[in-house]
Amino acid sequence: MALDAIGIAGTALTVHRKWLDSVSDNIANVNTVRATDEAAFQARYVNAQADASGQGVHVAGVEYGDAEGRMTHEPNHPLADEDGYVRYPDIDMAEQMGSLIMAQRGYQMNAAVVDRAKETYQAALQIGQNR
Amino acid sequence: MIEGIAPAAGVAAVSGTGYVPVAGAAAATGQSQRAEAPEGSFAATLGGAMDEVQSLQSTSRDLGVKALTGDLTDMHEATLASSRASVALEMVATVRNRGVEAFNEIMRMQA
Repeated sequence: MALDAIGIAGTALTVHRKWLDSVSDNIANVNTVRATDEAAFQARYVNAQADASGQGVHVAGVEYGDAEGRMTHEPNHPLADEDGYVRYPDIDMAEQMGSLIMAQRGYQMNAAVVDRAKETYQAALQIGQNR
Repeated sequence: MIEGIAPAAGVAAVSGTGYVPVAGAAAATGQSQRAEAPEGSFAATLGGAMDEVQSLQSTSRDLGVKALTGDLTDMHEATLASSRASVALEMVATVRNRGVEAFNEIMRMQA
């Protein structure tokens, strides 16, 4: 449809919002401890894919990180096994902070695209009006 | 009649633009005045664009309600819809103003 730049930037805004959501989920669960007989919290990674129509981008699915996690020796932890180990999620906080910044900047960039597109359309409507 | 000027072809088209619908016909059918405008006329084009703007505005309104009731997952959907609706309305208004301007320009013509 017409006004395509706005629509395309809108799809990218949605993708970056979902990326932000996944990063926030990862950061929120950075200290989620599980017992060794179950899987550790797995980091979420969104899988962005270009739309087949060539009109933007969408989230094709979510990939999950390592279920092994980090085995940590905490004998006093209520979830610890007989050897005193628990599973922490294998999430690198620095990496998550980097993703957080990229997702935020990507979102801002696409919001800027919407603004510029709107300004451009308005400029087109001004053509020939200043007489 | 001046030689070389095609007679009355443009005038016939003007009489059929549907600017002023036949009052009796509109009342009898009970339809909107736009329905009277012939296909491809200025009035019909403008009417179609107006319908489009109206649907964009209703989308924008629905998303606004969703945002207020907390049913909206994507904040930007509401703001994008409202941007879209406002640009589309500006465009239709501009086209309409230019059309009226052109019409007035013609009305000011004198022999």
